[in-house]
Amino acid sequence: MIEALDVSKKFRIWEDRSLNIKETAINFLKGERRSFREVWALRNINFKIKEGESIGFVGENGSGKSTLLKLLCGIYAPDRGKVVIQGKISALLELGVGFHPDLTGEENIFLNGSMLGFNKKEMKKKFEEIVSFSEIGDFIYSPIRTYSSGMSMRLGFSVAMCVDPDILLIDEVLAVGDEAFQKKCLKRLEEFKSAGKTIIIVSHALDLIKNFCERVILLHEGQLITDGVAEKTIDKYHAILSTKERPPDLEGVVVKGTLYTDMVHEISMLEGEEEKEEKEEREEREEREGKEKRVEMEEVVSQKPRYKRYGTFEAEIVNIVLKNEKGQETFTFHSGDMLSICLKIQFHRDLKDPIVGFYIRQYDGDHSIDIYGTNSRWKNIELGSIKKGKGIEVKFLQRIPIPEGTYYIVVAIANSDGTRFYDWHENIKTFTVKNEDRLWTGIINLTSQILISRCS
Amino acid sequence: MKFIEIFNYLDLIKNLVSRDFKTRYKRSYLGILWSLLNPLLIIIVYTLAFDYIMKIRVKDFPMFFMCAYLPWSYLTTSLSLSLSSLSDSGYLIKAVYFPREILPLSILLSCLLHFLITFIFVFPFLMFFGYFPQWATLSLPVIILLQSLFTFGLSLFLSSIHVFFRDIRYILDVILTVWFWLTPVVYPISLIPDQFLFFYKLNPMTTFVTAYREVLLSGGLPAPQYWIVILIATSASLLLGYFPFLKIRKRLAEEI
Repeated sequence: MIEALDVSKKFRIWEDRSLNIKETAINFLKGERRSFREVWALRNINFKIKEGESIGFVGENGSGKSTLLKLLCGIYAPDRGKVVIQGKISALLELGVGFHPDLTGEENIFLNGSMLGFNKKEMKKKFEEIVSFSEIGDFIYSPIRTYSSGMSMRLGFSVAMCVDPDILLIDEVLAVGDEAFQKKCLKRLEEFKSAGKTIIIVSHALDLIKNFCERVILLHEGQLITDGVAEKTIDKYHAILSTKERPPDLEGVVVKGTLYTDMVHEISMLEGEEEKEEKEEREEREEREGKEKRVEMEEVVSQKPRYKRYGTFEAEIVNIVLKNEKGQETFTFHSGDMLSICLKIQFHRDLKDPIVGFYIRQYDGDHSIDIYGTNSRWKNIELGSIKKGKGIEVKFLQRIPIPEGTYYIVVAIANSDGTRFYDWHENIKTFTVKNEDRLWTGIINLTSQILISRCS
Repeated sequence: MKFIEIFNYLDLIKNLVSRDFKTRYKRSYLGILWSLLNPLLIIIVYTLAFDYIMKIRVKDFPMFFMCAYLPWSYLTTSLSLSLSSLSDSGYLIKAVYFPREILPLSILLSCLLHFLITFIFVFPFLMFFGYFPQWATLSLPVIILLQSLFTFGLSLFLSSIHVFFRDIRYILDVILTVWFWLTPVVYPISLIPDQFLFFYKLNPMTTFVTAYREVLLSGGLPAPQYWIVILIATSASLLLGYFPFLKIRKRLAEEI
């Protein structure tokens, strides 16, 4: 049984980590403490998990899932509230904890096992099973520095999968290994489940969670939003993801260019610095106003795409809406749906034949991939002359035969030869695409026809 | 109680000690022999320097020096190695739960193992020069245990501090050097002027070193006042160590 009673956890974010003793002494003499700010990563979390339940924790990066897991297994101590655990708990937050490259696979199995809290006797019983599960063979008697990364990963997995706790906590680690090995692990988890063990999984793989857990807990910005049936909670999670006004960014930054300048490129290069200054300014302001700080924890591994804007602002894109076939604003589409991107543009100067365009973009870590993009010039549409003070509306209509995922929209307006951006909005909108029917696979739906004729 | 929890993790301690022990000299040609060779070479160097060149008047200088130098080097290697035991193990501390004092403890135990190994040559050496084990030698394990506890307190103290102040490493280097010369390792205590003797004896390592010599060379039990000083020093060191450690223990996973 696991019980969280009004659990809250705060983190200190040190302003400057690298104070040495001299500076500390000076600070101490001056009566100053090292400056840090406190951020609540979890607030008033309550839940109770009974024996034999399988529970999933979902939420965005930074929502506090991993923090909660670390609280449950005792790595962190709660600042308020209490965690009650009954039963032997084994946490799989990382694979191969404490593996030493110079020790053999065998020695590492015992070391890793004892870190997970199992004694030598228990490990001896499991040893054969672990070795055969890992498919490492005779390499088990060689130092693991001779292993490929896949092999040591599999070994870490196998130890975790073969030991025998009452409660198993898993944080995202299931996402590695090849498909066959993953299947094997899932099968193993099913066995755990049917043996009446309690399992808690934190994952972004919602399919896995949906299939495996009856109950799902949704965390958002450190608070427990929903605790209930898997399907419903996950739908709610989707709703949270898609109803954000902006992409799920940490902060949006607008960099104003000097009006009518030709140095757009330079502006975008300077951006980094200005951003920082602006950020510091804002932080100071917020400090003064005593506002809550946003949660920026180490847990945010991949920084989400940021909203960016720059340009000369001779014309401004003032409104952007994503609509579905029925003309309703939405953020969730099915693969193959109609997506319309509706823009309102305001002109601050007489302009001739501007180009309006967009990109649909996807992120893989820091790396962006433009899935598709087009503009009015490529489509041979001339906008003509538009007077200062006037506005236009532009609609891009298209089907999106693209795979499941989260996508971002970039829209822009530029001069007639595309050398000068009046207004560039990067990642202004986000939407998710679902493909639940799964009638195809790959990166684009080619809507195949299949013809079959029988020959004698 | 939290202190008792550590007994549930005996296997982990054993594995960590054997990991440290196995990997310290791994991929060096002489391996564990270095544990014997290193002190032997040091003893030769100091004997040359102090006995032959500086002509310090001590009977059987190599024995005299060895009986103090080995416990001393047990202290210094333990302290310098366990210093970063917490701050370097962030990956462990963040990934699994176990009583954190296990980290400095396992390093200490591995150093203890190396220390004990040196007795392989200590006893033959002593016997060769006519110092035979006496009944009092049986108290040696107790002295070693107390020294280990004393060292453990300091390790806990230093490794806790090191999480926040990395400078402590350099301070420790200086302190150990000064401490070495304030301890009668290379010279006899009789060289210390009487008026400083009281302060000089406040150094717990003086007591430890004297106790080792008493047992190994004189073949007698250390006087009761020695035991009292040792016990006080050991408990003081454990208190000193646990105080900052308990303070930071809860936040360790976040601060590293």
